[in-house]
Amino acid sequence: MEIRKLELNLGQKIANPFKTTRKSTTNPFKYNDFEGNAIDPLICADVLVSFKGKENKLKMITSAVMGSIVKLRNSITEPIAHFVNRIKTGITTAWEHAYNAAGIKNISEKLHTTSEKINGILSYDVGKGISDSISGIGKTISDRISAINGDITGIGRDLSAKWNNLIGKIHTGNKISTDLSVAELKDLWIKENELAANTIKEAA
Amino acid sequence: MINKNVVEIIDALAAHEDHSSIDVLEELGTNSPDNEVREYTSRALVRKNVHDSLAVVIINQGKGINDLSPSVAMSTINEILSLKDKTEVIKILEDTINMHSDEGVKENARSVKSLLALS
Repeated sequence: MEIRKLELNLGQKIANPFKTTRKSTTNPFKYNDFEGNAIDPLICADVLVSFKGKENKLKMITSAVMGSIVKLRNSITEPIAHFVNRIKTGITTAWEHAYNAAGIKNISEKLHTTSEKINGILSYDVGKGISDSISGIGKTISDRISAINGDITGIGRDLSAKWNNLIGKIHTGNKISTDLSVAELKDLWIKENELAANTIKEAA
Repeated sequence: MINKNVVEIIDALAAHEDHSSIDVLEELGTNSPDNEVREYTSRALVRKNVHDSLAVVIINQGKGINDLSPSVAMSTINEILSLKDKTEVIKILEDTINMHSDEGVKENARSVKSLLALS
């Protein structure tokens, strides 16, 4: 009798709560759309009225259905949560791996050390070093110039003495005399001839 | 124009006691391509008035009185005529006229000797 009553009531047309409309969509939550076919406890009002003694059982069935829906929803949402958690965990793990194993920590430390060094260099080594270097270069250049001046002065003095000696022998009448040997006079004459030849060539 | 330094060198060699100065004057002076140098050297050799220096300008063909340049030859002859002591030059001229193989040199020597006789 209970079954018959139940069959009679179940024979009524009620909205299928699991009926879904399969449409081509990319929305995974679309399949959770029950198109407003929510289970109304009032549908079973006659059952509840007819079977007042069985209210708890009906409530259990309704609860079971609702639980199934919730479970279905959870079954869909949990992987998403897991996915998000996995991504989050993966990112965290990847970062920790990169930071510890891949050397980012070292790079950071090195950057920090390099920064300190750069700061140190800029504050002391570079400035003082450049100043000292410039001073050293200036002193070196000054020494070199002094040495070159000394050399040039010596060379100029030697050249001046040799030139004056040569000019004195050639152009000074008192120098060209019988005091010179015949060989010296011959050499002077040959040099004069060479100078004359060069002058003629240049003029030509 | 002859170089002043060359003139001084020639004068120094002409006044030099060393006999090798004659060789230098002959080598560099009488063989010079410059007429003025040859002329001045020949006169310097004449002024030395020694046998070897006078022989250079009298008996050598193309040098001194035998130079192809008339100015050089005439200058040398004038210098010979200006010598106070002509003993050595006459001796060389006679030897040249008598013994030299080249007729042109002999003829020039004979002419100079005639000029000396007339001077």
